[in-house]
Amino acid sequence: MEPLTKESTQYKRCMELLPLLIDEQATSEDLDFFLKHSVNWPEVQDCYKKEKAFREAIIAKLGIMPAPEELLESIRQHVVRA
Amino acid sequence: MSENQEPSNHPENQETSEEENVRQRYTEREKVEIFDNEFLPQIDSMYNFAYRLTYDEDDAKDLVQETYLKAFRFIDSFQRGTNAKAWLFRILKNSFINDFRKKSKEPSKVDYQEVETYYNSEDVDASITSDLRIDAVQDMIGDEVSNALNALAVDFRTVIILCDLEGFTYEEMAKILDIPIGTVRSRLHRARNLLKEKLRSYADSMGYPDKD
Repeated sequence: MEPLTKESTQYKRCMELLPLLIDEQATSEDLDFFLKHSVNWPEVQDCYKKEKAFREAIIAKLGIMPAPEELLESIRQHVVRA
Repeated sequence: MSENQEPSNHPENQETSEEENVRQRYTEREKVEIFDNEFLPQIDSMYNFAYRLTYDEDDAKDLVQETYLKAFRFIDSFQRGTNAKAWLFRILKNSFINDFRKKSKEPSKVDYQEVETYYNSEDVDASITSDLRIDAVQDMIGDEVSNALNALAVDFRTVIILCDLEGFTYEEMAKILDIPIGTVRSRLHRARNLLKEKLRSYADSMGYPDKD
């Protein structure tokens, strides 16, 4: 089968979906479409994999800091007074 | 996403639609239930957001406490069972801008010219990514990544926190930040690339290879 060009609707749709997938804002149908059609453009798939890995690395490194224990009690006291 | 916003008489929110002005009339008992069951469970996320905005533990605690007090005071403008987290984040963000950010000698300024035009550009594939070796990030410790994030202007830092750490949707972020969804998307893209640039500079200084 002849490879699709970058003028194709599939390419344009893949490029529209790329930032949505990176930001985890896309639907599962969008992801399926992207995975199915982006095989025609390895650089697009490579970009997706790198961006996804970067996002996951940042999330893993930053994490969520728990609030100090005394903060909850302090808020409760202030609200009771209010 | 909740349609709730802070009330129109709230000092930090002068522009609200009629729909947004719908107020509930909760009993004292209901208020406490909402506060305990819907607001307080968000305290870790709230503190995390506040800390990453202020970069100071005491300021973060003050900001979270102030946010919860405002939330309780204006609880009648919150619709029970809707998105409490987004509602609280919006109050916290406004409190930060109006109270805490003013204390800064040099408030962060962002040149949005380049950012806002990103999604109007047809050259999306060329600008979609700024390359960075992921291994270099994985070799870093959390504090190093945290410092790089904190080196970004607060508006860029905020979208990364809201999207990547807190998992808000574009629509929720747009409402929290009072900006269009397109701006959220372009700002997020630019923020990630700026963060990569910071991390690449750090990786270079530490002798990590920065390219595949």
